[in-house]
Amino acid sequence: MPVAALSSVSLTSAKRKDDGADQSGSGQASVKMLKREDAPSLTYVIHNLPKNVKYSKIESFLSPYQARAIDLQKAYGPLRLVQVELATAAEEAWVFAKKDGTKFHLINSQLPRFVFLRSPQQTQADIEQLPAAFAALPDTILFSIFTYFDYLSRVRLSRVCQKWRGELGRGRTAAKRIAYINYTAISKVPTFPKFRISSQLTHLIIRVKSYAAIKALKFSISHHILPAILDEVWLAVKYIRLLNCQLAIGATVTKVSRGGQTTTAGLFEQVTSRRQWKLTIKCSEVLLQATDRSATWMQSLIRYCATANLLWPYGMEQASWLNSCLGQIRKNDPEHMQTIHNHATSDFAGQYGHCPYLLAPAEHNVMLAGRRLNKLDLAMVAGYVQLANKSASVTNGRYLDYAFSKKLLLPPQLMPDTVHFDESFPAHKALAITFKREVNIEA
Amino acid sequence: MSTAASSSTSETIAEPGLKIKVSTKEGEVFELDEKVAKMSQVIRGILEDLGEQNGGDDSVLPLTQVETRIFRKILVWLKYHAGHDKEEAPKAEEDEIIARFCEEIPEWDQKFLNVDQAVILEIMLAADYLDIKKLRGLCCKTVANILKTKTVEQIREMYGIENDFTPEEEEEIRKQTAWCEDEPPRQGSNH
Repeated sequence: MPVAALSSVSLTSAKRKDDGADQSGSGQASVKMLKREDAPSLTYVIHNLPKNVKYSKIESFLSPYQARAIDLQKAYGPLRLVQVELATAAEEAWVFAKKDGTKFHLINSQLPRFVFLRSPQQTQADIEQLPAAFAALPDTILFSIFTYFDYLSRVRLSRVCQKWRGELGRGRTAAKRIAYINYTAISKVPTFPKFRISSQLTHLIIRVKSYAAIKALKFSISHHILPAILDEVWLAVKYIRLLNCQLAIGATVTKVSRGGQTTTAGLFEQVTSRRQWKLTIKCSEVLLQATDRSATWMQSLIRYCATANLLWPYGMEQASWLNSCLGQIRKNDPEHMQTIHNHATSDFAGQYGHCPYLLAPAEHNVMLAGRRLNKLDLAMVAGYVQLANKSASVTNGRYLDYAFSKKLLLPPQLMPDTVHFDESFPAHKALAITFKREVNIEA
Repeated sequence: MSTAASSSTSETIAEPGLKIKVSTKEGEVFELDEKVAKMSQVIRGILEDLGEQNGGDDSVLPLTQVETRIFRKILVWLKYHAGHDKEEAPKAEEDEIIARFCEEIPEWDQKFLNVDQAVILEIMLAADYLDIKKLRGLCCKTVANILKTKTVEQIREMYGIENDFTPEEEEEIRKQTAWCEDEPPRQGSNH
């Protein structure tokens, strides 16, 4: 590799050539449009030129030190600039090719003082030095770069290394604030009609993957911003289908008593369909407190409660809530009450007859439904429930008797210590004997 | 070899009004218009410290950390923005943050920074040294935009960052951040 030959190239001639380039122009129309100032690097020039442009065509746009490449061309004959392969903190590597395909790697190091050729292997070694430029950035600058990350990127890129994690993690509070500011700023723009959300908000949320919006939401709630914001954020999040965000909104909504109704009702649909039962309950509580209660969603809620398999762990809580819900409907929407009541109780009891103690607070409704619908199974369950609650009455005896005849027995732990017994229903006594429990029979 | 620096020790930039001379790391001297020079808070500070002394004499402000080739680029940026930017009142912190996230990089600046990453980093370092906040911010934003498009593994590979997490830690973090690995939303889909 004739390094010496190249390094002995006269700088003066290269400089002169470069200086004269502005007047000489170039054969390429696209090149002519560029001035040296507008071509801050060779890379830029190359990217804006047609492919396979001759190196000589762009020489006029080279800075003085770059113009030395022209001398390379003089030494080796016509060369084509294939690409700028890399640039380190101090070097740029240009790859030139001769007509026969032979490639030359030109490194400009400590420009403009010297130029020399290196082998491709050496060039590769230089490429590997590239990371050092980034790794050597002072923390202040590195952390400044981080401040331009949206929340999602902060979280995602915190996996790079401990240092990044420490900084990106610490910045979460700031990110929350940024998100809030973002949100409040863009919520003022006109609404995007198709989705009933602002296009700016959509843009933001898409860009930041919603989590910033969630943070904004939480922040806005803590600052008593109108529930309408919740609705808008909800719609935006729903639009981009981010379940995590939806749930996060839901969790937020449940902490406030005046969550937006669109948000809450929409969230309700989501969480019920995904059997997020706890969230459903909380969401429902919010809706119960809303001024404009809709019997429709409440009905669907109750039906969900009745059919979901996730009821078990939250049985008592749910049952308590169900009664509250029914009470609210009774007060506010009597027309729907009966329908809701019927559906709720029948579905509810039918599904959970095997764990009757769950139904305790609602047993009366269950029993009523069973009677009304002439479903002995339901009524029987109600009887079990009353029995379990030590309030079995004579009237339920027939259901217990029925249950006994069907060998649908109470679990032993649910057997009451005392049973109000009606002699006309010997099943009571039989039940007690079956489970070897002492029964005080009151005539 | 070093004739370049010595042979072109002074590059005059013809501007009316007060001229400020600065020298780069290589010793190359640039003569700047006062308005352009004062876009650097460092130069502005020096000039203010010097007071009246700086007018008319041949004193040269040494910018020992800035290479000539980078300074040339910065000079291009300074001159353009000195001529095009309006005087802006200092922004409130909130407005600054909003701008940080909501404003796109202007087209001219995009073209200006359409260079190799290492060059951007150098410009950023120089802008930091010269305390040119806007340019520094532009570089930071550009680099951040590049980083945002990369995966964690790509970033480690590109920049030679060692993964110093234990496998357990990494797994834990991966779980914690799983939610943000969602696919990008499909544009135009109905909900």
